[in-house]
Amino acid sequence: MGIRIIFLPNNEEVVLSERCIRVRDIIRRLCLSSEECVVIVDGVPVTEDRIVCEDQKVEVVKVFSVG
Amino acid sequence: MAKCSLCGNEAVATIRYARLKLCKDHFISFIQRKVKRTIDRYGLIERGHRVVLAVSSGKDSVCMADILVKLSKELAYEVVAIHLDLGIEGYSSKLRAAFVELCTRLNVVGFIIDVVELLGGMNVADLAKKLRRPICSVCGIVKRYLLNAVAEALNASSIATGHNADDMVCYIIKSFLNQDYAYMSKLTPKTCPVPGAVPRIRPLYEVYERETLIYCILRQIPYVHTPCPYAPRRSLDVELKRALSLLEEHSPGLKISFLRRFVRNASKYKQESAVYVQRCSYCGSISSSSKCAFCKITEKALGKPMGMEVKKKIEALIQNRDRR
Repeated sequence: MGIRIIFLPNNEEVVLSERCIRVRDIIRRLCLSSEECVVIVDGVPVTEDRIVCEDQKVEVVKVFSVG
Repeated sequence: MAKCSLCGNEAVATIRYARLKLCKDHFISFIQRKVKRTIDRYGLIERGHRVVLAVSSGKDSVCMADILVKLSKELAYEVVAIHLDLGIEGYSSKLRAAFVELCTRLNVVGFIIDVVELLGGMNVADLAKKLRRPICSVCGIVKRYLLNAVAEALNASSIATGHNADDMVCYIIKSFLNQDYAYMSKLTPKTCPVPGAVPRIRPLYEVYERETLIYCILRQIPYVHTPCPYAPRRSLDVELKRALSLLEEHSPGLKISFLRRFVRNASKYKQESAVYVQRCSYCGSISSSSKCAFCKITEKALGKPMGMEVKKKIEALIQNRDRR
């Protein structure tokens, strides 16, 4: 199944094959810097140390693209 | 799980430049204190001031409004929120609804200025099309003019905007690239008072764009996250901000130290670029020529300079003081 990531504000989706992954690694895999995005897990912003699993809702907000 | 550096609860954000990890409550108070320090450091607001909050309903302006409303009791100043409805189809209505919700939530007096109504049925996109000019440039002229007119009608001490640290660093670098020192000298936390122009203040001058977003999510403030449909997809601004965020990641705090140094030196740029200020012969607003930009574009698009008429309509709206 993997981890489904929703990008905001454009609602594009990406699925990572891992079942669990650290937020820091998500940011690296998406070729973003930690300063230009905010990762939200189940509606709450999280730090880069957090591990997320496939049953959680993961949103990545590209800060400079938000109105 | 990362823990809050101050209380040990689960952290929601890392503040690299301050070497802190903060939980929800400590993050919110950290940002609010940061804005208060900016107000104190640069003397943005004084006791008894009336501050116009320019709210577009994007994340930055709603964050600014939320914090300034909260600080208004402590620092004893008055706030009035203003929203300009630009009449952009399928977009402006969402912004307007979010503004109404924000005013209700913050319990603040809010005015909505309907641009289409003021410009005789034309929105900014129609105006730009008729003028054959880029929409963002026309929109900027209209917004600056109307905000100043509203603030004057309200007898306000200043207009607060939601420009954040990332915006300001980006604008300063862009104006340097264009060698536009006159514009550069205005990119400080507070613009110099000029008779006829209400000073602009930027309380989020040292708050990063990432922080305003996290603040809005944590405070659950209503904001519209979709960008303007006319905003260019890959603008120089976004590219510059992305490049600068890589530098910030490498050297945390770089943008804030740059901005503080810039403020210390900004007056030097002003001396090199002194512009003679005149009054518009049609509406009396300050201008660099005998006709202000708003009167120029309305004359070209609508056949007559609309400055004076628009000012009168705004004054009537303010006098009615009907809360929207």
